[in-house]
Amino acid sequence: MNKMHEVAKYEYTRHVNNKAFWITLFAVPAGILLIMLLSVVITFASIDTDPVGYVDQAGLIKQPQEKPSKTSLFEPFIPLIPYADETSARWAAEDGKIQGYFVIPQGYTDSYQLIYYFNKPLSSEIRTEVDTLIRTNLLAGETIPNFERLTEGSHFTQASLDGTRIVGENEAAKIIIPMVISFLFVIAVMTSGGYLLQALVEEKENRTMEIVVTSVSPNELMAGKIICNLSVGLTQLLAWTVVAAAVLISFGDRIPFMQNLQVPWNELILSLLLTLPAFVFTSALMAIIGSTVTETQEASQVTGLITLPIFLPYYFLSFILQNPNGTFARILSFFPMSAPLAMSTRIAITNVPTWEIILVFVIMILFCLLTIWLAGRAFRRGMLQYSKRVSLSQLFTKEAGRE
Amino acid sequence: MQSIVVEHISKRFGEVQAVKDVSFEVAPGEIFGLLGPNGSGKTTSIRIILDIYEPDSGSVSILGGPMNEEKKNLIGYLPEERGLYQDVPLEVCLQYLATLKGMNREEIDAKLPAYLEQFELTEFRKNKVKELSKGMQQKAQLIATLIHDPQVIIIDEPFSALDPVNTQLVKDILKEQRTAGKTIMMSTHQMNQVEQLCDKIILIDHGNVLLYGGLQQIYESFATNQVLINTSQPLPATLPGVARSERLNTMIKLTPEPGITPHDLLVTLVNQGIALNAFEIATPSLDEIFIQVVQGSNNGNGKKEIQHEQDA
Repeated sequence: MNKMHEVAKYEYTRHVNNKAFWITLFAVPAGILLIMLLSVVITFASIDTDPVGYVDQAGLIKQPQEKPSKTSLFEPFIPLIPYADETSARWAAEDGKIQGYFVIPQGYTDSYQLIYYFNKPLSSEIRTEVDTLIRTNLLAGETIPNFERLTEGSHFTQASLDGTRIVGENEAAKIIIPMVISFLFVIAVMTSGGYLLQALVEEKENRTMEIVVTSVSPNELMAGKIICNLSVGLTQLLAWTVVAAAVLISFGDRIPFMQNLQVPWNELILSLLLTLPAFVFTSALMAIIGSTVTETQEASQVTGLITLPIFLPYYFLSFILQNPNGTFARILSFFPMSAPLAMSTRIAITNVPTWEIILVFVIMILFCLLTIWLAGRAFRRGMLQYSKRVSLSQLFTKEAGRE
Repeated sequence: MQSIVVEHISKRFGEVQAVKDVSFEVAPGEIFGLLGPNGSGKTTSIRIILDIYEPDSGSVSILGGPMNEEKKNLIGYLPEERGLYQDVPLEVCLQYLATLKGMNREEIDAKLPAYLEQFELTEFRKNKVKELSKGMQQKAQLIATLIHDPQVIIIDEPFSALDPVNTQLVKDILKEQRTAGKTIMMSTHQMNQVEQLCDKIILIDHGNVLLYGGLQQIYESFATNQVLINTSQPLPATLPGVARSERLNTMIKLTPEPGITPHDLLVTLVNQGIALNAFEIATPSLDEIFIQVVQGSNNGNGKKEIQHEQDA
């Protein structure tokens, strides 16, 4: 087993010294952060903060809008400008000084009806500003305890009938965290598995394999490579975790979404446990490909066959979110290759019965055993086959099964 | 005790009979030549010896028994399909391959610099392997074959990418290893190298053994009564006891009539007053024996030789 350690050490050093490793290490979190940042910036930057006018025919507004002490991209402020009459408001709108104006008609307190005249349609941000202005004036002079809290509304806690699952506030964050982490884990599984594949195919392409197999047993060689695979993947995850923790510690309180966030540890740990068998069977599948193909380019093409089912749940995410206990979501969560992401998503958003969780673990462990068995046969059959691909049927011949 | 004992091994890949009933033995302190045309089954035989392939029948004993993981450290192998890790510095690549042969870091640090120096690769040790020429890579692979001081050295076409200087270097190293009592098995097409180095050979074709034995024994078995002479005088049109004469550059090959020995021919030439500059028995070269045996085998005449040698 000493040689297994040498194989793992050499492969690990080689991959970590490779440019591709560092590109992946930085590109994945950078890409995710960039996409998140871009979507947030685009969403908030698209909010029109041009002033909106109003004509108070009801004589309701005694306290004009107050400008908040601080504003930012994430806390936009839309000034509300009073006009004496509709004519002056209309002129201002036609001149483009305001994006529209609303009229508080006489008898508003009977009808609670406003009229909005616009150049640009009414946005939710304008509604919020107007509602706040009117509510503040309607309640002026009243003494209501906890007024701010009352206007915020209730917080909900949802509990399943059997009491096994309780979901509190900030539900979106609770769903997204396990999903994002599972996604990162699967990325780590795929990239490190890719290194294993690359190493195997290179050893065939470079004709190093014959030297290696006359120095190390195939079992030690594969075990060393799989340990390297796990180590490279865990190194990536560790680096990403450190980056994520640093971002959260530094900026967490400034991201509205992350405020008062409680990490759903149970769901998170379960999701991570689901991805562990994925490490093993991905390594085994990569070993099968690496042993049976003859060139790196061919290996890259075949790898798509593994990538597609693993990421399948993301392509059908809306179906799973809409009906997490439906047949389709269940099929995806029991199919071993799509199970890590599909089951993680279901666990995050719904109450998955315990027997289903146990079943998916059993399926994945069986799949691991099957792929390891096939990888052993593929390696023995294809390790020295330099110019011709090993067919699937050849993996079941007597020659492939030799110990 | 023989280091390698191969007994009646056979191996079939689908419809192709790669090796058929091959047997031979190699002793310590011996350079053994494994010869045969392309696709004759040489590499398959080597892979069976190294336990990469399992024979369909027959057995192999290496260093006193079946191959195991410990014995892998006692074997140095230079495969026909050359290969080193291309994207790593030469030194790192050789260090790794040496660790796979059971060497620790101290042993490697003690031996590798001397080998790099001997093969004139010291200044390239930090270069990536892919930056080295084919010949340099071959020398590097020879270092990987020898650095762990193996008891058995199996080398497939060791001279294929080497210039004459490096060819001589490798030959000298192989001779040193033989003197040190190592068992060397060499597969090559270069018959002149076999003639200079090998003590014993086996010739296989289409998986069958055509020839097996000591090199001297084989020469003797293929020797004829023909003689080569060199003389500055013209030969008479007819010579008693000579069936045919043939000019070969500076030499003349004389084929005696049946029952006439080379000694009889020498007496005849002296009695005829022919001044001889050279007189030698016309031993066939290994190249000629190779072609003769392989062509004989293809014409269905090879089995006799096999039987003869196997019996011997």
